[in-house]
Amino acid sequence: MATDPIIQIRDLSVRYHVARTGNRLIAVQDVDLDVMEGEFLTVLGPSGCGKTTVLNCVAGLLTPTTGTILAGGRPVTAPGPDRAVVFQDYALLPWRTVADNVRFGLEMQPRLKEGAADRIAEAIRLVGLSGFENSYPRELSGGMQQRAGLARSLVADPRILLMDEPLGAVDALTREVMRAELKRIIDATGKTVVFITHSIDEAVQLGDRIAVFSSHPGTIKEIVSVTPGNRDGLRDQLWKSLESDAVAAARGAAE
Amino acid sequence: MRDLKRWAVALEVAALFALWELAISGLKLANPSFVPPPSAIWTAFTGMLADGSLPEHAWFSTQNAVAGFLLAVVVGVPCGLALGSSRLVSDVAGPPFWTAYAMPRIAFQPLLVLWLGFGAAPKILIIFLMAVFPIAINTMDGIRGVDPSLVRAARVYGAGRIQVFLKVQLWAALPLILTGIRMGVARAMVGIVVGEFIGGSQGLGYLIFRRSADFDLASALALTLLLVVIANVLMALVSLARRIAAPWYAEGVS
Ligand SMILES: Nc1ncnc2c1ncn2[C@@H]1O[C@H](COP(=O)(O)OP(=O)(O)OP(=O)(O)O)[C@@H](O)[C@H]1O
Ligand SMILES: [Mg+2]
Repeated sequence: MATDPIIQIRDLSVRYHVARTGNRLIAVQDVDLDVMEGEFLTVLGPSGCGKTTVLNCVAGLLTPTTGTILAGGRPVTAPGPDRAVVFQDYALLPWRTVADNVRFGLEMQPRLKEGAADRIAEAIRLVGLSGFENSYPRELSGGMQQRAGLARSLVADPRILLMDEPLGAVDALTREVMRAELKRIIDATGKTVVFITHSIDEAVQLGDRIAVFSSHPGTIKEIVSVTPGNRDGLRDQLWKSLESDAVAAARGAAE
Repeated sequence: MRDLKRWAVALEVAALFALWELAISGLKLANPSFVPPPSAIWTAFTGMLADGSLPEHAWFSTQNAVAGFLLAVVVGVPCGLALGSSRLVSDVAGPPFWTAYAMPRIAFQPLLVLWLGFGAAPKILIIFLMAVFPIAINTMDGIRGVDPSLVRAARVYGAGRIQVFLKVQLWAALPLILTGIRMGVARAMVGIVVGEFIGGSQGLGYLIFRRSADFDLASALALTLLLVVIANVLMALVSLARRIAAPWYAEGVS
């Protein structure tokens, strides 16, 4: 272990104040997590266990109630150019074309003014959207919109990519294709990735390691490493590990 | 399909006028002095054009309408932006704003005449008061309705509060701002008439009341229809502006 982790999460707890009921809800409790440079970490867990909450804290969008997060050795207090986020709902600006949406990923960083056009073209090429630069998001399929979202996250060359169920809203077939594409793109850029998913297959196929969350309170239950040999075994193991939690979460949601 | 609908609307209007003409001039179902047929209204209209009364009064009203409406845009949009984007402003300025909105503004017309005189000022103020609320309220709703996910994305990519406002909220609100302006146009037309109800001797509204009082109902109706036509043309222009300025906004829904 020569290098320090690029992301260090220590004793992270987040409580939400629910204005409607006046209650405080413990969303995440005592999360410790290290992510190494260049690692692809997938995050699995039942709905509502606090995965998005943890990711938003790393992104700097949410301030933890207690605990610390270091990114690249520095405490996270706000979003920064070292971290980009890919959203489940794409979060593209509907009034901007693909190229202008991608530009949005770097236009608030004056240091990237020079050569911006080249960077944008390169990011669009990398995600396979060449020829759609002047299309508006509503003219694209869900898969293509997420490609645009991915290009926007890559254009400023952040060290860390935070992905919150990026393929959650695309259809099953596109999802398969995009999964392989994503792997290719990430491997080509060598970025550190934290990738939230509901799919065990996705977690196993993409991840170097998998952080498994459990709920009530939301915390990390186990962290498993993926090796080429143990993929199939892992699937079964993860399914068993998640089944009871998933059932409980679904029941909870139904009540 | 679009063309077909247009023709259908034109046909509806033509049929309505034809029936109206037939009922009064042909079947004599009502006294034409009380319910003038379209032909009489048209004659009254061309008459007022020819003797110069219509252009003169229309010019007075147009100036007031433009002034009051522009004032409503210049005041209403920033007010809506402030109310929509700042919790503090909305908490402090919201209650008086909604109270003013709930007031029957028409009832203030005689008071405004007493305070401001018989000239253009009370008319401009009434038009302003009629038009400013739909503009401000739609602008406010536009800002509040911004998808929070877009705001998060902007923050992730380095936008501060001002950039979030300029690059996301303002754009996202633009279609609703223009919707508010379109509603403001229609309210301003009402304001023209209301503002000239009491006091003064100029304007289309004044002319309508005057001709009604003289039992010249054909002229009064001609002027009312003229206002309706103008309102529709102006609203169509604002819709066109919205299609050009916000082409991403749900097409076909006007
Ligand atoms: N802004 C908020 N205010 C109050 N409670 C919240 C808020 N955001 C999330 N929560 C609650 O915190 C808990 C964790 O939410 P979070 O979105 O992090 O879960 P998640 O693991 O991402 O779920 P999913 O897999 O469904 O996306 C949930 O119980 C949720 O209801
Ligand atoms: Mg989530």
